[in-house]
Amino acid sequence: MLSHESSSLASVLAGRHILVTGGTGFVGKVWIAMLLERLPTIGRITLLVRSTKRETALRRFERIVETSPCFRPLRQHHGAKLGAYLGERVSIVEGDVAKPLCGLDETSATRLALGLDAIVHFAGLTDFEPDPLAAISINIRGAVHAADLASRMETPQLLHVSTTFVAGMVSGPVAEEVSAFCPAGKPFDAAAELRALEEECARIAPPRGSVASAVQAKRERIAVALERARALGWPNIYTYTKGLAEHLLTARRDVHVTIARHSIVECAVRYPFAGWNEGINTSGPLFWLLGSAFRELPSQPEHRFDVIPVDTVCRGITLILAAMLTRQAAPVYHLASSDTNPLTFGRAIELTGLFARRHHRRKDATPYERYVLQFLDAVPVSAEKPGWLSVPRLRNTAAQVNEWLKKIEVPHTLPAALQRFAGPEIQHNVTRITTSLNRIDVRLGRIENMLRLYRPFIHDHDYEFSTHQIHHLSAALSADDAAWCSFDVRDLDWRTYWLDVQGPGLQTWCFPLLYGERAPLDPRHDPPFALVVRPTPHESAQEKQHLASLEQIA
Amino acid sequence: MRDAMTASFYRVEGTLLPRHSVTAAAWLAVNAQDLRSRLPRLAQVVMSTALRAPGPLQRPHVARRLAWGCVRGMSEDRLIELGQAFFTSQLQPKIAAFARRLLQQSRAQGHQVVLLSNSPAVFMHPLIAELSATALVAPEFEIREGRATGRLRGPAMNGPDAVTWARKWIEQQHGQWARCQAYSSLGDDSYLLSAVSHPCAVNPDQALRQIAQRLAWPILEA
Repeated sequence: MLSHESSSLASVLAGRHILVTGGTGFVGKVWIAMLLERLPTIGRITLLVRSTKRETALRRFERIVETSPCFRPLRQHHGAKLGAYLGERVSIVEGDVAKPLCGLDETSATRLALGLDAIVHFAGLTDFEPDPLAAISINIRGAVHAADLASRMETPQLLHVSTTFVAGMVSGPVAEEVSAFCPAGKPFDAAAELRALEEECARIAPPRGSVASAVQAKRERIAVALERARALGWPNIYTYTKGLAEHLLTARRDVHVTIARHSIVECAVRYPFAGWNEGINTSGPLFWLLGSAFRELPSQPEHRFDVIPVDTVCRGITLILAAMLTRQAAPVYHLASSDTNPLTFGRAIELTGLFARRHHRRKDATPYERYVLQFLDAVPVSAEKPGWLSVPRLRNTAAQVNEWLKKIEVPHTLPAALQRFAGPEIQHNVTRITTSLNRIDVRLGRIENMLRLYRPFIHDHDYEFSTHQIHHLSAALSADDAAWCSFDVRDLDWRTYWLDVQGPGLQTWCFPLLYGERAPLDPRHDPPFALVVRPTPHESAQEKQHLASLEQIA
Repeated sequence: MRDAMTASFYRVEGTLLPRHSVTAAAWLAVNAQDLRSRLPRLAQVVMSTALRAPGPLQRPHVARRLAWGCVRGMSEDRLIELGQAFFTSQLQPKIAAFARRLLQQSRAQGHQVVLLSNSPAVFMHPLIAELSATALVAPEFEIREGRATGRLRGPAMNGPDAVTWARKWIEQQHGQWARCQAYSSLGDDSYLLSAVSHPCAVNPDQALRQIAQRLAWPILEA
């Protein structure tokens, strides 16, 4: 437990040096911005950032600070002095978690690690069905590489950010622990599993230069990984690789690993501002779907939909980090809502429908939105008993109509007189309808695929993630710290959150991406924002000694 | 020395807003989540109108129970959201200009404005902010496990009960009953109007008009 009567969060984190991986992702960015805003006494945050073909790691970070709405509060607070403020507290290191030692050379890695107090590992691939090669290198190897780096620290401490859904295909209460078994209940060796997966994926190698066979090879790898995942009780590649990473990390004896598992991360309640979101997250496509003419969502209304605002997750991670630095951390923390303030699917679906009504009532709504869509509400249905408006039935109907239309041969079907009069017109319309139906079929296929991916979480299983540990930490906070950093999910009013925060937030930040557009960014500065880089500090005597000993060994 | 607090009691229905209970109940019925349940709910509201109309079948209390019973099984989230939507689209534009002037006058005289309504509070809550009222007394839908039971709960604001409640409220606020005002359009509120020192009939129904004329209460027509 954090005993903060004598030590506030500020004093625990003052002067500390933290290395962050995945700091340019959705959660990582909010956490860094929040920490820099609330705890200016923090020693240093070193961000491990990948460079791209067009940008160096530093320029990438500067662009994010300059244009990401996530950094608005910091920009507003510090104005033109933000570059200097961040320069005193932030360092950028070019690296890649997918590479050994996170892409750093031996000397740089050791030098960096020796000055660190903790590593917070956010980096991860959150697609449900990515190419297993990418998932292995980022979600599994990435975590191992972060731990390798941590092992070079004086006091090796790694905070690994994971997902609560590593629990796999189970229902009921989920404890804050890493089980010795896989979710299917069998004992298993994570290292052996990883080797087997890598070997199987390596066997599926496409011939060079062929795009079609590369796509086919990727499909085969996904099929292989899914089969292995399901055999062990994980529903998809994301939870499988995250689960394997957890098992590999907890088996290590050279690093003290603390795991923070979050559930479905959604729009911010307060920080950086209400509604902030980034990327296509889990509920975005569902929200969009339920606002359309789609009526029946296969889900169990009484099952819990464990959603947690991103800033609540970030507050939880700050608490866990403080507990870790004061050697009071538990091995695993859940950052979730299902045990203390559960939101059911039935309620989430209804609230989403009510938000869609608000949207369809707006002044510039089309007559179709205002007079039809507004009055249609989605309902949860069982996947075993699909209704007339379910996606498979709609798809089937569209396919049947299409088949029927394809069989129509205008020259033979129509009477000669009508054919002379309107034959080309009718033929043109038949072709047009067939094309539309094909397009609809493609869209429905995508929706069907999406629902298949979501099914384990929205239909098949009912999770109740225990959050005892994080509430224990939160309860020990002083009043001042609790004002900004308490894990306050119990106080969340889901109706207000869903209708006034989540809905507008997704509409602004997520829906444009679903339409193939870009989410809005803040305008660029003139002159462009630049981090005022601090000169590299001189090596401490201890660092020099350690490096000398390493050289001797070499 | 500052004067003790006093209040003006306003009956919402007929005085500040047109009577709307049937349309409000019908609105909820046709906006139920499940499309298939909308028609039976609406039929229930339609049946209630037969019991409301003057004649041998007239049973206002039964009609009321039947009409609002249409919300049975609907979620609290839906009722609140639909209530606000109904207020914004149907009620807000119909707040009479003279009603706003009356309220302004009451506030200028240093009166607290208390709104009395027989409509469920989900429709009436936005009125507090809209009319800068101090308090609203309206029944609430009974909710169990997040769903409406179809019954209404809360203070009965009819006949002598309205007087009892108003007196109690003034006492709790350490107010001065002697200076209170009341505005209504319903004959049922004649008890309340006769209990205050400054009664006023606004667009009165037939029963209230007769009483007002007999007792020489001011009558406002708009």
